Amino acid sequence: MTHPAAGLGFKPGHFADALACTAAGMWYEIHAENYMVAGGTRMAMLDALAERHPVSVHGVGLSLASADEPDLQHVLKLKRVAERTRAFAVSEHLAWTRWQGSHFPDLLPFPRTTEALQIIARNIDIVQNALQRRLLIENPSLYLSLNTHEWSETDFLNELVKRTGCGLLVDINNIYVSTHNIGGDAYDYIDQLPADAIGEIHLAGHVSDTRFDTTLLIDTHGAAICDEVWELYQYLIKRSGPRPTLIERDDNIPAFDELLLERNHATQLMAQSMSLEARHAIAG
Amino acid sequence: MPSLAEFQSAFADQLLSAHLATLSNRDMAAMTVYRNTVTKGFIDALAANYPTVLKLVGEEWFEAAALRFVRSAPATTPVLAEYGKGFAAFLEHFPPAKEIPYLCDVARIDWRWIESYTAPDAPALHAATLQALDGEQLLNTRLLLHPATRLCAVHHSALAIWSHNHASNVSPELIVSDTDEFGLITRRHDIEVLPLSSIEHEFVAHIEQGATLGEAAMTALADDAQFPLAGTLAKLITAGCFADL
Repeated sequence: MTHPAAGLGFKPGHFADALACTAAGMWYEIHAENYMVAGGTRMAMLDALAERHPVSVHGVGLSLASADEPDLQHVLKLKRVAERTRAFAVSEHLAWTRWQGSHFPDLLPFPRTTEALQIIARNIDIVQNALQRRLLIENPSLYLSLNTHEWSETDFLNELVKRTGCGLLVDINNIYVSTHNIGGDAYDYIDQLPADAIGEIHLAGHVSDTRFDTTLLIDTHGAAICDEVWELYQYLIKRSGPRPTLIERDDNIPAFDELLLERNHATQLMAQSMSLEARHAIAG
Repeated sequence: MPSLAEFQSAFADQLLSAHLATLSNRDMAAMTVYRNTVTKGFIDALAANYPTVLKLVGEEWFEAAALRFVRSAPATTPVLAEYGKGFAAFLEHFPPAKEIPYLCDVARIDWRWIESYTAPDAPALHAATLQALDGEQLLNTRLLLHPATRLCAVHHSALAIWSHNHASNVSPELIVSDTDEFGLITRRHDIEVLPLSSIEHEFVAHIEQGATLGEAAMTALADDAQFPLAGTLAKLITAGCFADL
């Protein structure tokens, strides 16, 4: 296995192609909750994938931005998936999905208050202590303007990194979508991120929703990555250096080879971002 | 300023309610995104777990039923393979489903299939293991079902209807009758559905409840003096019905 460069979200429908792919630096991300089952074909596929390629585990169910503490049973299931796949990264979202025993299949917003900061830092501490490893926190895609924020999103993320030692998963498409929907400048946002804490990058496509006399960009993971997101990506990795980068596609899934083209484009941009010196160092 | 808990409570109320509070145009657009994503997520999860029901009733009917179900029973786990256990019972009391008498039983088979699909891995019992026992040991043996084995007892030919419609490359076909059917879902490499007679079903059910092979065989022989014990055991073992001793 090589050092993870650019990777793809794993789709069971692409299993044979994914397993056989020999592109240098290829890796796969899995959604942790899909593999929190006891056994069967799904787990056998996961084992085979992890045997051949590096795996990053991406959770959607921890609900870190819930007022109550994370469900420890769920954290332990996440730990088992991460151990079983020997994951090189484990990530979750700056969002909530659970309220009083009900789980919602979406990443929901919250007011970035000092109270929320304390609660989320506590929740990240609990999870990192149970996992015995660093968690990467992903910036969300936002649709609703809240007038009760006390912190900017980047200050909030910087503070979480400082208080908990967590890393960041920077989703460029989410930055693009959120700054369009809520306001702000995507380049300023990137400038304000703690570059050293970035452990992974996500790239994805979105769609425009023009009902209601206002254009909202929606993070569907169902389209090709747009030019503006590629430009933001180059801007970020020029600043942070290359980081394992994922092409996220969860809807309108094209053939594996088509996804591989987007993935190879990311790999080229990563190589270009490195100084000549660094490239020589890696080439040995 | 509302606390985080107060914010979550008010927001969660808006996610699945049939009527949305009055909001500005922009907030309405935003809340609609969250509401649509949540609803679509639940309906897609239910469709993934009940593919044969979806195929029989079509997308529009399924979505309408699923939306009612989701509002009455949002997920209690973020693991969506576990979502929707109560859907068959819900369909039983869902008035539009009254015209489709086999639908609840088809839903029950879909659910057992998912349970089998995600059940723990374990070695299956081989015939040689039983052959090594003497007659008395054999009759006193308490077999355990393999963790991926599920029994089905359904009405209205639901098993035949399910089998015709489950494979995605087969077009819907209906068999309308009021026949009771029995079957066994097992997982060796792929999941297989083995039709059983009512006596064979009773035989496996007794073993599942903890009867020894001798006790289960006595009950079967009392119902049918010709019950082919050896042949039935061989068939069940080949299908991967039991866990290794």
